[in-house]
Amino acid sequence: MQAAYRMDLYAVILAAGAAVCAVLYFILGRQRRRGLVVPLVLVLGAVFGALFSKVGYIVLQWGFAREEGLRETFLDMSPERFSFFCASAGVILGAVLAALIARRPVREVLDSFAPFGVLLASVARFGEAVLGMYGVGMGTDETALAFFPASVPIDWGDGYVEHYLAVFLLEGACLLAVAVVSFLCFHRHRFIRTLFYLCLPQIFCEALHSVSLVWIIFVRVEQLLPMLVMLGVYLFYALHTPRRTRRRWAGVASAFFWAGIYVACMFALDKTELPDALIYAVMAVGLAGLAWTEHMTYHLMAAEPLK
Amino acid sequence: MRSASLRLTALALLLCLVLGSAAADVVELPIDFSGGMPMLYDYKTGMLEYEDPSIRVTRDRVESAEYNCTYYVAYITIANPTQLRTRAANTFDSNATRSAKSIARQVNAVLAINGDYFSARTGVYVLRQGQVFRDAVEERQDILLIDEDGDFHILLANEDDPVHADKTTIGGKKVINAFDFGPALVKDGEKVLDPLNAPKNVKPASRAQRIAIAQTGPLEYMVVCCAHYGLDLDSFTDLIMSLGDVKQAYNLDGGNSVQFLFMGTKVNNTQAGDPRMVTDIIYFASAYVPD
Repeated sequence: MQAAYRMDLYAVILAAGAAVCAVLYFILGRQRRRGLVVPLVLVLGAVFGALFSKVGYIVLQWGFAREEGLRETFLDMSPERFSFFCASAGVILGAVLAALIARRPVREVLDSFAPFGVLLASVARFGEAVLGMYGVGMGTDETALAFFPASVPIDWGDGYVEHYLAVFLLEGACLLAVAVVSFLCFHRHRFIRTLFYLCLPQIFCEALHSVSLVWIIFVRVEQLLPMLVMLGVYLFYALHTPRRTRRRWAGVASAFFWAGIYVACMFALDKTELPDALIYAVMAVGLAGLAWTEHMTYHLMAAEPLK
Repeated sequence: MRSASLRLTALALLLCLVLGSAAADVVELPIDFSGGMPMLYDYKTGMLEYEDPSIRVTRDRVESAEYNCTYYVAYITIANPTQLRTRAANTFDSNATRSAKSIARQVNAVLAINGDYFSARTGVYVLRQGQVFRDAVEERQDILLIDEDGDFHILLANEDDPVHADKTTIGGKKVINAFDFGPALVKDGEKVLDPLNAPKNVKPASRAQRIAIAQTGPLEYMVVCCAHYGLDLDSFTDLIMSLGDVKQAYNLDGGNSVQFLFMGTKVNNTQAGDPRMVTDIIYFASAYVPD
C-alpha cells in the first residue's frame, strides 16, 4: 500500500518532451543554419541531465547514500532518488559542451536555448503526475483545495483515495510561463534572466513538497540551491553595473534579506504552530520582492553594455 | 405440539447465536503494512473510549497543577500483539511526509501517535513490521525493540551497545518493530533517564511538547503526551511513572511532531495550528471481524 509511480512512463514523457523542445528550438530558435547545435544539445543534455540528477542526489544526500550503498543508490530508480536541480544543471552543461563542440559562442547558444530548456523543465514537472507522492504536497481533503487542478487524487490501494496539493502542476505552469516570457520578452541576457526565473518559483514550490531532499529537518536542498543561483545572478548584475550607480548592490542585499525571511518561514513551518497559509503568503510576497529587485537591478546593469 | 415447536424455535435461536459468535472473531493481523480492521463505530466529539472484543482504548485530557501542564494519556489493551503496528507516510525507504491523521485513517487506527521521524537523521535503525530498512545506529541512541509478543525491550546506549547488538531478535523472539529516537525513560520499572547523556536534539532540560509510549503489562500499553509548552524530560518521565505501573517507557519525536489521534481525529492541542507532517506513525488497530 504505497502511492504507485511509473518511472518508465515518466522517462517516456521526458523523452517525448525533449524531442518536442528540440524541434521547437530548431524552428523557433533560428537554428536551421547552425548545423549540429540542436542535436548535440539534445544528446548531451539528456546524458548529463540524467547523470547529474543521480550523482547530484548522491552528493547532496551523501549520508543516506552511504548508508544505503552507493551502487544501490545509483541503481535505485525511485523518483525521490534523483535531484531535479542537478538535472537542470546537467542539461545546461550539455548545452555548454554542445556549443564548444559545434564551435559556437557559448553565450549565444545558451541564450537561444534558454526558453526551450525551461519548456523542457516545465514538461518534466507536469510529467510528475505519474510519480505518485513525488510531485504533490499536503493532503487537501477537508480543505477548500480538494478539487482539480488544485489537488489530485492518490490511490493508496484497497480503494483508499486522498487528494493532495498538485504542486507539480503549479511548478509546471510557472515554468511554462517563464518559457513564454523568456522567448517573447528577454531579448538580451536571455540565459541569465531565464535562469533567475527558473529558480524563482522553485524556492516557493519546494516548500510545498511532501517529498524533498532535506538537510537538518527543515532546510530543503532544492530550495537553498536555487536561492544561491539567484544570489549569483544578482552578483553578476552588480559586478556588471557601473560603479557609480546607486542601488547597484540592491539585488544582493535583497537576496540576503529574502533568504533570511525564507529561512525563518521554513523554520516556522516546521517548528511553530503558526498557520501554514500565513507563512506561505509571506513566502509569496518574497517572490514578488525578489522578482521586482531582479527587474530593477537588471535595468540598472543593462543601461550600459556588458564588457 | 405447541411446546415442541417452541422448543424447536428456542433451539434454532440458540444455534444461530452459537454460529453467529463463531463467525465473529478476533483475527491475527498480518505482519505487513496493511491496516487494521474497520472500527465498529465512528468517532464523536468528546468520545473517550473505544472498545470491541479485540481492543480497548481509554483516553483522557488532564490539566495538571502538579506538573503545570496539560497532558493527554491513553491506556490500550489489545488481544493480539499484531494489533500494535507502524505505518510510513509512503514507505520506510522514503522520506515522504504526510499528516499523521491521513496515515491513521488509512490504516483504521484506533489510537495513533507519531513515530520517530526516521528520515531526519542518517544513522537511524529502521525495522518496521518485521523488515529491516536501514541498519545504522548513532552513538548515544537508546533503541526500543518490540518483539513478536508485543513486549518492549530497551537497549540502553551506555549499557547494551545498541550499535553492535542484534536488533532483529531478542530473548529468542523476533523483533517486529524498532524505534530509534529516545532516550529511554523507564526500563524494567526503573527510571533510567540520563538527561546528561540524552541525544542533544531532545533538549532534555527544555520545556517542550513530548510524547512517549510505554508498556504497562502483557499486551497493555500507555501513551502520554504533554501540550505546548510542555515539560522537561525529567518531569515528563515522573509524570509517566505516576500514571500507571510502567514497565518500559520510551520517548518519541516531540515538538511540533507530537500528534495523538483517537479514532482518526487529532485530540491533542486542538486549538493549535497545523502540526508537522510526519514520516511515520505507531498505531493500535482493531482485529475484530464481526459476522
